[in-house]
Amino acid sequence: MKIVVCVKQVLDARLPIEVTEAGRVLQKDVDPVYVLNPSDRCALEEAVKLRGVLGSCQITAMTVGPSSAKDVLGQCLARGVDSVVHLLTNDADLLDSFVVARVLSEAVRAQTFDLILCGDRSLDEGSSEVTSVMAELLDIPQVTGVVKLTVSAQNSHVVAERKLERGYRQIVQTTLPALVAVDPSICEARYLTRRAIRSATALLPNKCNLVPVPGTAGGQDASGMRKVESRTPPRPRPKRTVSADEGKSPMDRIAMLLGGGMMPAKSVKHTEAGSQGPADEIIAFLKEKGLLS
Amino acid sequence: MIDSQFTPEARLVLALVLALGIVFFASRLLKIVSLVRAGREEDRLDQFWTRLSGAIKYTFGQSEVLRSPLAGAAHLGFFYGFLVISVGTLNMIWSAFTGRLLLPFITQSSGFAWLADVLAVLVIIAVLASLYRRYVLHPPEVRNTLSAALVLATIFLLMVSLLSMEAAGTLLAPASNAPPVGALLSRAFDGLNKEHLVLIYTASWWMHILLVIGFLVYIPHSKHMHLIVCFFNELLRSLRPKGELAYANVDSASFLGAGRFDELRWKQILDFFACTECGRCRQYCPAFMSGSPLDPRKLILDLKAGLLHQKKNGSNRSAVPDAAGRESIWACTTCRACQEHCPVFIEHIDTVIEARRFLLESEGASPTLSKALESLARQGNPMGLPPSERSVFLENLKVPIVNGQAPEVVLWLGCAGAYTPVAQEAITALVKILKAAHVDFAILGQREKCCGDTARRTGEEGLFQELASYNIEMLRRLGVKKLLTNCPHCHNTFKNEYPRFGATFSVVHHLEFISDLITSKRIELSRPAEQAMTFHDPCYLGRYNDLYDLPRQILRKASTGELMEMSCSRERAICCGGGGGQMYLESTSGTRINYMRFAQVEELSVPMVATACPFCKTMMTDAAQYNRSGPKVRVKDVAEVVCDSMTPV
Repeated sequence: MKIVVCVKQVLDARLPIEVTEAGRVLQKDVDPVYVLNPSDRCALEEAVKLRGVLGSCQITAMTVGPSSAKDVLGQCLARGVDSVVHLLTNDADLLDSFVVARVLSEAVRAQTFDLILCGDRSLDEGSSEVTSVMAELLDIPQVTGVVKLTVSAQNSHVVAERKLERGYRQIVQTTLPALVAVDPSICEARYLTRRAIRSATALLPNKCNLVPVPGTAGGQDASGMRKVESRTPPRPRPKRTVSADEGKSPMDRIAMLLGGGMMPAKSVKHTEAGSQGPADEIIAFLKEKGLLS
Repeated sequence: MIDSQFTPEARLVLALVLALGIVFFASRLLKIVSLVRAGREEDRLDQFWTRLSGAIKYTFGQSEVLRSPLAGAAHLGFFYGFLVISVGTLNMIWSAFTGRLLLPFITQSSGFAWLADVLAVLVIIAVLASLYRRYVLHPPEVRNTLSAALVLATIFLLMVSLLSMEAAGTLLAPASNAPPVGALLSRAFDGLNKEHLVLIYTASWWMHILLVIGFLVYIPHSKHMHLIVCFFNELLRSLRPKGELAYANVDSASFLGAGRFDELRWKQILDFFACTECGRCRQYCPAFMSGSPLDPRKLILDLKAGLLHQKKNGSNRSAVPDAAGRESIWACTTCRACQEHCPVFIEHIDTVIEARRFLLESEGASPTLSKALESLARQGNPMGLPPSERSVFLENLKVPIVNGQAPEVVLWLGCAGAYTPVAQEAITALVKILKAAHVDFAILGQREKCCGDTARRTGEEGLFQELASYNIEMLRRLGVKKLLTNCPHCHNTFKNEYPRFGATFSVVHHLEFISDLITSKRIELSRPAEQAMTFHDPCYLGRYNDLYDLPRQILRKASTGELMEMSCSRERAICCGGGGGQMYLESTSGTRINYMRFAQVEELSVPMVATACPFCKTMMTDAAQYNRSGPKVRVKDVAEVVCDSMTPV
C-alpha cells in the first residue's frame, strides 16, 4: 500500500503574528520560527501507525515550500517515512492554496498512490482549502475532519470516522485511492528527541528528492491568484500570565473552587463513541459534586 | 600453633576445600567483572592521586559510614576486626601447609595476638549492636533479610571459634603474656584434659576455616560483594562537579541512553555491586517518602537482579527501564539526597538519567512533558510563552537591556523568573536591591533562552546541548563576563555544566552577590523584619553547590526574629518536589512532596518560610495555599526579605 503524506512548514503561531499590507503573514519582531504543522504531524503519525497495522506500506512525505522547508522533511524522516519529496519554490513566492494544491497534485499524479493523508488545516493560514482542491484535481474522493481511520483487509477501501460539531460523529466509507484530511485528535504524535530529528535531517541529502517547482516566479504564480483587499487589526487581548488553574478543564476549575485548592491530576478518559458511557459518567460526576440533584 | 594435627590427610582435605572455595569464588567474581566490562567506555582514572588518597581516606577513615553513628561504630568494629583477623586467618592456612608462620614479625608478636583478641571481642559487641539495631530498634530503612541474619551469625561464630582457639591454645601452650580475653576464657576450660583441649582447638580451627571459605564463596552472591567493590567504587568515584550530568554525544544515529544493560557505562554497572543495602538513600528520598514507587535502593538492587538474570542471548531492548520500573524512573526529582548519603559512592542519578534518555527516544514523553519540551524547543521556555514577554514585568523599573557590549554584571532572569508571578516577585526584589546599591547591570530580554536544566534532567540531551550552544554563543557575542542568577538550577547548569561546552563566563548566585553588597555596605538593612522564620534549603543550592550558611547569615541580618531550623535541613533537607522535570511530569501516586515538606514548616509555627529558588517558592506557595485551616504562612525569596528590610531608596 502506498501512502503519500502532505506536510507544510508553518510559522509558529504561538508567537505574535501580524499580517503585512501585501498579505504576508509574519511573526512580530523576531526572525521567523517555523514548525511542522501540528495536523500534518498527526497525519504522519497516523501513516506510520497504519504501516504498523497493515504490515508493509510505502510512505512518502511531500512538501511545497522554499529551502527552509527541509527542516520539516527531517522530522518526517525521523517519524519513520520511507522517502521525502521537496517541491522547491523560491523564497519570495507567495503561495496560496490553489497553487500549492496544483503543485502537489501534479507531483502525486506522477507516482502511484493508494491513500493521501494530510492535516485538515494549517496553523498559520488555516484555510483548509488545499485538501479539497487536491482531491478535485486528482478526481479522487476526499474525507475531511477524520478522527479515526481503518483500512479494509484488501486495501480496497477505508472507513473513516469524521468529527462533526457538538460531539457528533459521522462514519464514512470510501474506495481507494482517496484523500483523507485528519483532525489532530486522530492520534497523539510521539515526542521526537532533537537527536532523532537531527540524525534524520543529516540523511536528507541522500533521501530527499528535490524537485524545483517551475513557473512560480513568473507566469502562473501566486501573486496573481490572490489579492489583499483590506486588513483589520485584531481586538486587543489581555496580557497572558500563567495562573494556577491554567490548562484545567472547566470541570476541574469548578471542583478546585469548591475544594479550596489544587486538584490531583486526572487521566483523560476515552469512551467508545455512540455508547451511553460518557453521558452517564458526567451526570454521575455532577451529582457527586452536588451540582445536580 | 599445634602442628601435629596437620596430617597429610588433613592437609589434603584443607587443600580440596580451599581449592573448591576459591574456584567458586573466582568464577562468580569473573562473571561480575565481565558484566561490568561489557558496559560503555568511561575514563575514571584521571587525577589518579586524588582518587587514591580519597579512596584510602574513605576506606580507612570510614567517614561516610560514620555519618550514621550507631551503624558506623559497629561497622568500624567489623572493618578493622576483619582486616586484622584476616591476617590471622591467612596465617592459619599458611602454617597448616608449611608448618611455619606467615609474616612472623607480625603474627608471632604478642601485640598482634592481643590486637586480634581485643578486636574479636569488639566484633562480637558489634554483632550484638547490629542485632539490636536490626531487630529491636528496627529503623524503617533496614532490610532484615535472611542473608543479613546468616552473615551476622557467621561473623559471630567466626569470632567465637577464634576465641575458643585462643582459650584452648593458652592452656595447651602457655605463654607469659597471653592475650587477655583468651586467658580469661581459658578458665572455662579449666580441668579439661589434653585430648579434650586438642579436640576443642581442632574443632574451632576447622569451624573457623570452613566458615571463612563459605563466606568467601558467599561474598560475590550477596551484598557483601561491597567488601571487594567498595574500595574501587571510591577510587573510581566521579570527580566531576556534583551538579554535572554525564555527557552524551548527540550526533548519533542510535538512541541515546541505556535500554540494554551494556548501554550503561561500566561504572554504573559496578555501582550495583557496591550496594550494601544500607537504605540511607531511601531514608532521604522525597519521592519515596511521599509514597511513590521510587525507592533508590530498590532501583539499584532491581537493576542488579535484572542484569544477573538476563538470558544469555536474549536482547531485551528495554531491559534497564523494565528492571528499574518506568514509574520509578520518572518519579525522581534529582534532589541528590540518595547520593549525598550513600556511603559507597553509588551514582543513582546518572543511571536514572540514562534510563530517561532511552525512554524519551524509544517511548516518547507524557503529554505534559511533551508539551513542555516542544515549547522549550520552539519558544525557548517550557511554558510556551513568547520570548518578547520575558522582561515585560520589569518595564516599570526601567531595567536596561544589554545592547552591544554587556556591563560588568548581567542578570539572568531564567524562565520561571521571567514568566511565573511568584518568581517575578523575587526578581523584582533583586532588581530593587541592585538599583539601591547602584550596581551597573542589565538584563538580556528576549535573547534569553532556557538554560536547559529541565531538558537535560528529563533526558532530552539533544535539546539541552542546542540550548547551551545558543546561550553560550549569545553571551559570548555580547561580551558577558559575569552572570548573576536567581535560580539555583540555572546557576548549577551555567556553573557546572556549561564549561564543558565552551562557556567562559563566571556565575554568581544572587545570595553571594547580596551577601557581598551587605558586607561592603552598599546596601543597608536598617529596617529588619521582626518575624521568626525558617529557611528551606533548595537542593540545587545546598546539596549540589554546598551553599548552606550564606542564606542563613543573610536572613539573620535581615530579620531580628528567630531563624528556626526544620527537622530536616541542610544536607538532610527534603526536596520541594519541583526539580528533575517534576513540574511537567504528572505523578499520580502518593501525596505531593511539597505538601509533605510544607508540613515540616508548619511544625515550627512560623509566619514565614524563606527560600532561594523559584521552583521551591512555587511549590511551597502551592502547598501554603492548599492548607486553608492553618495560620497563614508567607513564602518569600531571600531577596524579597532583604529588599523589605533595606533602607528605602
